[in-house]
Amino acid sequence: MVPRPTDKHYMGMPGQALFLVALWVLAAGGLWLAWEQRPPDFSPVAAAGLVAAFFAVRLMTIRLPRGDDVYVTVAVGLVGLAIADVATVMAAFAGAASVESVARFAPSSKAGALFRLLDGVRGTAVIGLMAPWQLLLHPHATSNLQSGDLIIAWLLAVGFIWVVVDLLTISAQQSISGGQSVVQGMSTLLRPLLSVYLVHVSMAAVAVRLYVESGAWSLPVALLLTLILQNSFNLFLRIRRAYSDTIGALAHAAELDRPHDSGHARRVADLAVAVGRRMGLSSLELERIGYAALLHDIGRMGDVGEDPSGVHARRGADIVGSVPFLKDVAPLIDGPEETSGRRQPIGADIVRTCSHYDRLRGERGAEAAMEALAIEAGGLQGRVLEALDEIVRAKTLGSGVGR
Amino acid sequence: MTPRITRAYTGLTCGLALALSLLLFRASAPSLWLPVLALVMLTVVTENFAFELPIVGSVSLSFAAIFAALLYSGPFAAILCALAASSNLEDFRSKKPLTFRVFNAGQLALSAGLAGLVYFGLGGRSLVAEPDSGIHLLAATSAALTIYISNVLLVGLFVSTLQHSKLSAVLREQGFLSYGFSMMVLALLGVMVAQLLALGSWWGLLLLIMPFLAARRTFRVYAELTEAYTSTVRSLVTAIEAKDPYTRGHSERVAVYARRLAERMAFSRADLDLLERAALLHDVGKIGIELDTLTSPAQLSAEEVRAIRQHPVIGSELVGDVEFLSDVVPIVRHHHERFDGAGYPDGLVGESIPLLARVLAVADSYDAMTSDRAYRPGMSQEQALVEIARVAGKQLDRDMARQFSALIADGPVEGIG
Repeated sequence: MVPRPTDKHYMGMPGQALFLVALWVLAAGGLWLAWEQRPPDFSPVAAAGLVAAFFAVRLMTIRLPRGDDVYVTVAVGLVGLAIADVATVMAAFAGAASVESVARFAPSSKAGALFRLLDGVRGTAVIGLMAPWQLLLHPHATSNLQSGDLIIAWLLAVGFIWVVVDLLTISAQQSISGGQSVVQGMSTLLRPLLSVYLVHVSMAAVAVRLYVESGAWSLPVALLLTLILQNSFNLFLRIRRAYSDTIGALAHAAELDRPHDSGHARRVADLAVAVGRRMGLSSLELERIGYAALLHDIGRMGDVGEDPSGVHARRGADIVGSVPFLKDVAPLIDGPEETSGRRQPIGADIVRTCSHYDRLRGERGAEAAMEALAIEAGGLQGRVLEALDEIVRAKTLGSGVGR
Repeated sequence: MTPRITRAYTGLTCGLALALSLLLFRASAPSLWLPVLALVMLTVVTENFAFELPIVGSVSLSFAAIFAALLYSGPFAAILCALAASSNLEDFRSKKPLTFRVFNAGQLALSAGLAGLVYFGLGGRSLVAEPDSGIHLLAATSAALTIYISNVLLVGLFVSTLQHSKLSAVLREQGFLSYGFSMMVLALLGVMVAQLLALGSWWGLLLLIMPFLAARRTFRVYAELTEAYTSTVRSLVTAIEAKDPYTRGHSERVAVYARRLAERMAFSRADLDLLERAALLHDVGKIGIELDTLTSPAQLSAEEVRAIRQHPVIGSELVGDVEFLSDVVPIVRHHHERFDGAGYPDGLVGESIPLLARVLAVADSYDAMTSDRAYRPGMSQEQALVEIARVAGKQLDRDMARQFSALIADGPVEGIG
């Protein structure tokens, strides 16, 4: 998992470093345990194959709708644990990860490459943490694998542990760099990634089962099938992204004839999603909030001047509600309950508050805007204002490296 | 009614398939029925949840089961799977003509049977008979190729008798090359299934099939979302356009004209979709221009003309923010180029203007001519066609202008209300 290298991620650098060191200490313990039982035996062929496989899987990066990139390499790692020793797998992963990070991202973004490298450090440590479980696959501390369907059961068990550790460490890393709790992070990641993890673990199990009894041909074949399956998930995530990008671009277009509002929708969307996340809303709700924030001013199109009565909100809700894909987003754009007369989800309040905040901030700066909001509401009451206040304060603290 | 020649051809295919099946039953009746039954069940299941893989439209996963049956048990089992594969409930429900269904069963069975002859002719052995022999690489590859070629030819001939077109034209149109790639992938899947059956690893089989079921579900949602994508863009563009009464509905009409013209010129399916998206978005850069400028009935100042001439650039930049729409960018940017090089923003000449941008330019000009503007009423259809003929070769691509005139002359364009 590679977080977008935005300002907020720079803030947690010391914490990140500490976390990675701690992870490596644990991994070293695991490695030592495994080596006690089974000394390493290096095989150049296995190593080369693993490097190539890791590299191929990493090229097929998964891009989540929010813009984060995710690497899922569990299938190759699991097969590696079955056919080679842990040190070889770790070296192969580290090699493939660093080459991929640097060659692919350094030319366009140094920060991007750096964050991918750090993720590589985490990923290598996770493989080390898996070392003790390798003994499950190899009974009697020899290099002979379990045979029969028993190996499938053990691989599923190790795969399950692997997925949990992977998700846990990614979320911990995210949580250190600010934002949601570890548990929230895991649940937001698990939803889009569950199918990919399922594919990886089960294909690895089948590949090793065939490898034991009918030869190494099964490994490249399984890799190819895994890549193709993963590609179908990628296409799906890609179209999700296309939706959010397109809606962003059209919202931007709608702002063109109001130059003083330029970028307002995009800023409100970022802020509203951050507030919603802090309040622990589900990823589905966050997605709706993001769309609503992007489109909340679309009812203002062609209008000039102020619109105190909130007619534009109703108009915007009607426009958005006419798009089947955005049906559930419309209620989040409509005016407040007093004027619209409809019951509203919490997301509407978030979008409205963030939009109001962004306009005030444009006029008088972040702190004064927050104060004004608090005075209007009669104090920092309500979950929305509290969450917004926390985020704004975190941002002002980190504004030295902010955008 | 299906043409007589198609029915005769169907009869011939099925007759051959039946003869081959009888022959092969005597030679290779399965010795172990349970795994074969499992494969047949698997085929029925996958076929009735019609599998689609992302690489190509719809290659049924049942091909993997047919191939696995061939490797594991022999040609007769493969034929059984082929028959199961053509038992698609959806076809029964949608009342597909009987000839189609019968032909499909016949051609699949014939292809499977031929592949069986090739496999055993080249020295392949069924895994159930000799589990330790492994899979004969040359024989297996040739068998997969045989199924592919025979399937493509038989179906191609069927379509060509149905449409009275040449076999070569049908083969070109159907994109059989990418189909071949999916067949190769599915053949590999078939090899794994056969090996797992030979090892008796039912758990492995389950684990191998499950991800494909999950992928299928995801891919279906993907297809639905892709389909809905254009309509989402359409609704939003319509809403944004609504501010200017004179251009209301313009983009949507241009999209229809452009699509019909491209269909007439036999563009690929992908190009049609691309063109439709570009047409819907081609004026999105106009949103930034002051409403007064757009609707002003008076002569525009030089400043205002410059502002209007910026709209393809602004539009293409907006669209460029969307990774998914990167192919649309050049079309939006160049839809106001002229064939003689006097257009904007880049003054491109002739063939150097992107093909789809030229199509869009024709559709855009025609709709602009025939709709009312603040400074003039719209032309009649005849006047507009005269004007199109006049600027062909200068402003518009000559060939496209001619095709477009023919399209309009053919009668009302479907989809323009």
